[in-house]
Amino acid sequence: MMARRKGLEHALISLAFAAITAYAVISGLAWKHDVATEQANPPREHAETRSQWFTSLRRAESGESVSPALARPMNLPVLVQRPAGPLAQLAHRNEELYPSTATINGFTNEALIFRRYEIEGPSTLMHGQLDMVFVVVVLLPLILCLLNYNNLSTDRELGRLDVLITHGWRPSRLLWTRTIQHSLAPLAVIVVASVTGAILDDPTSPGVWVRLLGWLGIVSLYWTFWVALCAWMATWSKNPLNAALAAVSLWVGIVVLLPSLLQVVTVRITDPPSKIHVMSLARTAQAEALQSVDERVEAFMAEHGSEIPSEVENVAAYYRRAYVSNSAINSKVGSLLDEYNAQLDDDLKLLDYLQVLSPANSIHRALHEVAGSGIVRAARFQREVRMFFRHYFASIGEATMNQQRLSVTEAEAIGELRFAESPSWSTIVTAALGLTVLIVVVLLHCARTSRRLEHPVG
Amino acid sequence: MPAVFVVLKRELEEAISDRRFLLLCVLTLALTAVAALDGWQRTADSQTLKAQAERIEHETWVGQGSVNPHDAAHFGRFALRPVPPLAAFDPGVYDYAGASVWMEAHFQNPPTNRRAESQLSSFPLTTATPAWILSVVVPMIIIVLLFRSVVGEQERGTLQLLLVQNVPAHGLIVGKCLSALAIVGLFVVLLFATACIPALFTFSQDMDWGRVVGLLLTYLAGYMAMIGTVLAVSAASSSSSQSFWISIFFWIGIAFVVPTVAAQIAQDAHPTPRDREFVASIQEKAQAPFWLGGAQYEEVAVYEAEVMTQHRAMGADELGLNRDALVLQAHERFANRAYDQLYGELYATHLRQESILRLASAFSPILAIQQLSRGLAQTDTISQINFLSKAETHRREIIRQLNEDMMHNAADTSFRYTADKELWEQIENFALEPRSLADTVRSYTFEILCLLVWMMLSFIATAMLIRRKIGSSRL
Repeated sequence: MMARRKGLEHALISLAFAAITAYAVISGLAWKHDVATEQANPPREHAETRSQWFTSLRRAESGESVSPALARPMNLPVLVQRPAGPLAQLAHRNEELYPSTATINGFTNEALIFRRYEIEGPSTLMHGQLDMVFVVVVLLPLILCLLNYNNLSTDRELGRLDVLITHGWRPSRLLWTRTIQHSLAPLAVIVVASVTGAILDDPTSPGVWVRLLGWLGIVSLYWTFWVALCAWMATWSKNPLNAALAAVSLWVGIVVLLPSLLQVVTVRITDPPSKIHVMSLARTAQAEALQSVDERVEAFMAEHGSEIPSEVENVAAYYRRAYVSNSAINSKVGSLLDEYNAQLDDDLKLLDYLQVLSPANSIHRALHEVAGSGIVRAARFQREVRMFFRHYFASIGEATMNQQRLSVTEAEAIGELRFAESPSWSTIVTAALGLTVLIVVVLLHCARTSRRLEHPVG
Repeated sequence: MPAVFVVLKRELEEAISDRRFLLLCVLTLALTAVAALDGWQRTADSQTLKAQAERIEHETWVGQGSVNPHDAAHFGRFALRPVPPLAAFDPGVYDYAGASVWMEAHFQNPPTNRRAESQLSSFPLTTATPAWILSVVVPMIIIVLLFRSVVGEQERGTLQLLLVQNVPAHGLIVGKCLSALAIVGLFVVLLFATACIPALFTFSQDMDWGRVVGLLLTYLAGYMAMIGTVLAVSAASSSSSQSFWISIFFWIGIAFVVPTVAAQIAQDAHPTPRDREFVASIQEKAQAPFWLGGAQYEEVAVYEAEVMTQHRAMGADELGLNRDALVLQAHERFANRAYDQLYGELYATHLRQESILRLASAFSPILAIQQLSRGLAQTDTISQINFLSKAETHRREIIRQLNEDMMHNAADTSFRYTADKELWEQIENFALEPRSLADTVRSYTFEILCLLVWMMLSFIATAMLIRRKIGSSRL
């Protein structure tokens, strides 16, 4: 009777978990579909402007009369998009937090590439979306604790364990049989949901299966860690109430308190760079550049005047002036942003090591990396966009200063940026290694405590 | 000794001798101290950075030299969001909302520089702030303290013992509730003091003490609701284990599941427009019709007529007004109407999302505490929208001043006309008047009611269930 009731309880818990997991996958797929649809149809204006720009340039190159304001290098628009990662449907919780679009032209400077995107509701952004990473990192351990807290404690309390031992059962075997039996269902739910999520999205996308394998590997490691913890907990809980208290404490400690403490410590140790500070310095740089733009143009003309063709006077100096001004801003803001990024990179590297102290944190980061989402990827995107912007800005420089147009070949050579996916393997490997060490430690400890059960004192 | 005091004394003795509870209290106190120091440091840093940024902003603006007012309007100014002192206690949604607004000509820009973007970890559930500890961790401690309070008496047989001693039902109920309130109240005052002391000393000049008292009352009301609920669960359960699991499920539900699910529903029910759609609609509604469509002529004519009426003149030429500046200001008026609509809809969406979270407070006293706490700390969505609205009003005023200066002084020099420091100094720095405490309380009446109803219902349920338990024990 009791066993049937327990079985029913376990089935209900697993069912509830499966329902939440399914919702997380469906929500992730819907989100990714929205992003893909939006990115497949870039703003009509952008596509039209770019196409018109090239048409005007071709007309100008073929000798047709074209307005002096058209097809100027400064006006060449480039739209850069951060696509959703290959498995981002499983890890989209905070993706709206980071910029996903950059609009580039000669009138932009590095401080303004990512403007106008922060329109999300702050409350919903703070709570984030329910995704598979949340399910794995937060809910899976809770479910495992719920299913396993009472694996031996009732038997011990009622003295049934001693009877089982006298009948030849080894407590460790009993413990592991029950623990694995109870824990397989949640793992199966996660595996099925993850594979389904990958298949329903785009199974032909390059690298998706390798990433899925990585994802499943990390999930399995985390599952093993919690199964080992649950087994260890069961070896020393003498009654169900203590076992329940221990299970909840363990979950709260590892999933809630430890990451919170790590967050405080990380912030204090690393002192993340302030965007407001960068903004202030960028403003100063912009003001200085604007004030000295005339002198800069004069200096350029004094140096390169002989190289500028005679028809220069016929073309508006507006573009050149704007270019010189932005060039001065970029030279100052660029180094500030480089410093900002370098600090962010250093902090993230440090976090790779610090996170070993908190298994939930390390798995959280590793899952984001393998799925293709999160702050590291967003930072990488921003860095690539800036690098591309520098290439773009340098490419249009000579023609703009000489008040000429680019050739079609030169314009096409500037190209457009396709964001290259490259997960941070160091984060993934550090997390996996750290967790493996923890699993070994817990298992060894568990083996020692379960041996004690075979020879109970008294 | 009256029966209430017998129960009260015994409960207090038990709580003090419960090592698990004491250990949890000490750990929570330590965690709160760490979080309070971190919050204080973070807020102090933010205030310093803001002060520096404002100084640089002012110096840059005033020191921009001789520039055409419209160029200056394009250079624009930044409005920086104030850092309320109680953000050290509860940063609320502020890390997830832009901290500055670029106020420039032609465009109402959304806020930028969200602090959360620089946060290295986006781990869910964790924001180790004093408010989070008080709203999430303390309810769990209440569960550990009280889950056995009634059912434990039955299991140990002490309930019968009390009945034999002629302790009346109401004495048991009041004694249980009073002891829980005394222990939790004492602990909370201690926690609250730990959480607020660094901020109170540092920011005492700017501190609104009414808000501090409001916060204390909010948390106490929330804990009373929690105490009532756990006692009711304990009275309704047949074993300590059952009571524990029901209470823990309840806690996980109200602390983590309800907020997450409510936020998800809020996003699904009221999706924020995609950023590119929003930018495109700005272009379509605020820019293109004026500069490329036919709206300019009518808008300029209406504005010109207004200016003429104001100056009792017949035409712009009579006044020697600069026509380019007139057109620029006409565009501002045209675009502002579009921005009122676009941003009005955007903020309404944010508030609709917020309203779902607020409705969810009816199911979660923890969410009700958190919403009220953010409101009182002035780190809620309403305060953010207040900041953005005031920044936009300021932007419109700046651009109007600059355009009017050019209109009246540029004559036919138009964009070659330059103004100097005298004009820049006339432009006021952005300053935000915070919302009053009365406004905040009015905005959060629903949450206050939710907490009161939770409190009342849970204590009524506790009284009824304890009476029933006593009845079944007598049988």
